[in-house]
Amino acid sequence: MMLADAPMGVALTVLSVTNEEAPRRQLVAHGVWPGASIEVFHRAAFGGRVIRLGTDRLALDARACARIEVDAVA
Amino acid sequence: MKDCCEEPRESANAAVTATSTPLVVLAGNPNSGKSTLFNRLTGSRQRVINAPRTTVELALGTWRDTSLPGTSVRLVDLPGAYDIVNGSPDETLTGEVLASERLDGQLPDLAVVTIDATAPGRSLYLLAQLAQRSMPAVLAVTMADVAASRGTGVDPALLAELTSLPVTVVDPRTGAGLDALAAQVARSLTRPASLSVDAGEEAALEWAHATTVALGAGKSATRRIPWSDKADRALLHPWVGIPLFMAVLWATFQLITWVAAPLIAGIDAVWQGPVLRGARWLIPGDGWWQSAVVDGVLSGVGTVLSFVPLMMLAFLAFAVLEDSGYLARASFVADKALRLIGLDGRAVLPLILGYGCNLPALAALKVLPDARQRLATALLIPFTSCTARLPVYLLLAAAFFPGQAGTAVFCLYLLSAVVVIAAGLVAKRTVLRGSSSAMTLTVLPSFQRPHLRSLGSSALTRSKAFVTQAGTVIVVALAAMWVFAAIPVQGNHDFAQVPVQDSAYAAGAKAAAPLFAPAGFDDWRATSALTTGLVAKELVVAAFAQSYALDDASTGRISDALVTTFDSSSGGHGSAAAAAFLVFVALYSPCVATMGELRRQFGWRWMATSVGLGIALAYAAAVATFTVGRLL
Repeated sequence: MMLADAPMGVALTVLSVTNEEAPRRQLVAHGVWPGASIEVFHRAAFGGRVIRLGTDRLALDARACARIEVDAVA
Repeated sequence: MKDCCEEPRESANAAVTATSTPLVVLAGNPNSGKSTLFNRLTGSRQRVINAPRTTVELALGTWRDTSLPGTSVRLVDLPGAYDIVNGSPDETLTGEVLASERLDGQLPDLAVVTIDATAPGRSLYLLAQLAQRSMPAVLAVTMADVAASRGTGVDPALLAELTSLPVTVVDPRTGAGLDALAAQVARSLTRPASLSVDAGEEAALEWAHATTVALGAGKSATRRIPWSDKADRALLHPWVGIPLFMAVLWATFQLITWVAAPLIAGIDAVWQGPVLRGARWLIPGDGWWQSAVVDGVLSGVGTVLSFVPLMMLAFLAFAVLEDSGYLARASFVADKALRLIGLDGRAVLPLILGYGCNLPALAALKVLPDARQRLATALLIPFTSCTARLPVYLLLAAAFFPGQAGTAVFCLYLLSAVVVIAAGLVAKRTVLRGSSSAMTLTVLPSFQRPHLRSLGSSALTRSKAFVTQAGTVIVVALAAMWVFAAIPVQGNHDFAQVPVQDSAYAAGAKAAAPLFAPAGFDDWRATSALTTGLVAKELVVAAFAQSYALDDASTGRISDALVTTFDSSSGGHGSAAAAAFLVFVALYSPCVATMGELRRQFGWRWMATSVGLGIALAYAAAVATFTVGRLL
C-alpha cells in the first residue's frame, strides 16, 4: 500500500520509493529508503503525513506520500 | 564496496605544516548541532561571508585550543546539507568547497562531520558522499542526550569500527567532549584517516543503509509516545498550529519592540547628546566642515549604532525560534497555505527569512529547485516586512497610537502576510501557471532548549555584518543627504548655511509631495523620508530626524514633530495619515541591496517589475487606508 493509505500507529517497512530521479534522491537523502522502518503518527491536512523514522520525525506532503510504498510489519 | 581506511589525501594535508594554519570544515545535516558546535568552538572569533561567486552564506572562525597544531585552526561552518551531490546549490556548495580551493585558495585539510544520534541514517548518507571525495574526517556524535532520552543512540566505538574514522561524542551546549574533539582533530591533521565508499548514489545509499543497520541505531527502544510527538500533534494541527503560530509571532514582535525601544532611545540620547557635543568641541569653529563631520557623518554613525540592539534582538528571536525546533513546525503549518497559492513548501523558508531581512531571503531562494518558483517567491519577498522597517513602525506607532503601539506593529505584520498571500494567488495564475512543484519533505528537528550563549554569539556576528555592510550604505547615504541639504537652490545662502526648505534636498521632496495628498501626507519631510527609504528602510527614521534637526532644532522630540506634521498635512486626521504612511512603508520596495540582488538573479526587467508593483500597491493601499481611516 502507499503511505497515504497506511494506518496510523502501525509499524511499517518501506518496500520501495519512486524511481523518479529527483524525488527519489530527496527521499533517500532523508533516510526514506527500501527497508527503512517507519510509522505514521499524524495525519496532516491536504493528505500529508508526519512519520517517525527511528527517532527522527519527517513531515511529508501528499505528493511525497504517493511516492512511498510500505507494508505493515507482521 | 569497501569501508576501510584509505591513504591520506596528500595534496591537501601537505598543507598542514608550520607554514599555514590548517583549514577544518564542519559538515553535517541541518539541525544536527553543527552550528552550535561552531559557535562553541569559535566564540566571538568568527565572521560571516558569502561563498565566492555565490550568495550562499558561510561562517568562518578561529578555533583555539592548546592541543591543536599551532594552538589554532581555521574553522568553516558549511551549509547544513542532506545531499551534497544532488541537493540545492547551498548543499552542493559543500562538495565544491571540499573539491576546490574556493576558500582563500586553500583546500580543506580535514572535515569534522556531525553525526546526529537521533537520525544516524541521514548523517551516514551525507558521510558516504563526503567519503566519496576522499576527505579525511573526524566524526562528532551530537544530540546523544536527546537520542538517549528516546531510548536509542549511537555506540561510538561501533561507529568508529564501522567507519574506520575517529569518533568523539560531543555536547556543544555544555562543552562536553570538546577537549577530546580538539585532541582528535590534532591527531587527524597529522595522521589523517579517510573512509572509502565506492562512487555513485546507490553505493552511498547501500553503505549508509548497511551501516545504520549494523549500528542498530535509529530504532526507538521504547513504545512510549514521546511528549514531543504529542506536542507535534497539536502544533501541526491546522486549527491549533496556525493560531499558535500567529500568537508566537505576535509575542516575538511585542518582545522585540518592548525591549528594543528603550535601548534605541538610550543609545540615541547618548549619541546625539554627549558624543556629538564632544565631537563639536574637538572640531573647533562652526564652519561647514564641522557640520559635515558631525551632522553628515557622525549622525549617521549614531543611527547605525542605535539599530544594533534591535537587530541583535531580531536575530536572536529568529534564532531562538529556529534552534528550539519550532520554526520547522511553523513552516509545515504554513506550507498548507503556501501550496494553496501555488508555492512549493520550501518557499516558506525564504518567506520567513524575509521577515528578518529581505536580502538573505533572496539568497535562500536557492533551496527552490524550480526557476518559476524562485521567481514567484522573489516577487513576494519584498512584501515580507523586514526588521529594518521596524524602527519606522515603532516611531510612528508610539507617536500616534500610544498604549497600542505593539498591536499597531502586529497589524502591519499581519498586513504583510495578507499581501504575500494575495500576491501569491496572482502569481499562481501568472508566473506559476502550468508549473508543477516537487514534493515537500520537512525534517522536524528535536525540540531543544535554545542555548543562549551560542545564539548570542551568532546574533553578534550577524549584527557586526549589519553594521559593516548595511551601516556603510546608511552612513554614505546620509552623508549624501547632508550634501543635498547643504546645496542652496533658492535664497542667498552659503554652502551648508542654507535653511533646509531652501535646499536641493527639500526641492525634490516638495515637488513629489502633492502626489501623496490623497494618502494624507502631502509633506516634503514625509516624501523625503520615503525617497530615502528606497536606499534602505533604516534611513527613514534618520531622514525624519535629520530633516527636523535641519529645519528647526528646537522642535525637540521627533515624535512630537511628526504629530504636528501629519496633523497639518491631513487636515487634522494625523493618525489616519500616519497609518497610511506606515502601510506605504510596509509594502514598497525594501532597499537598494534587495533591488540589486533581484537584478542579479532575475535581470533588470523583473527588478523593475518588482519595484514598480511594490510602489503601486503601497500607494493604493496607503490611499485606501487614509480614506477609510479619516472616517473613523
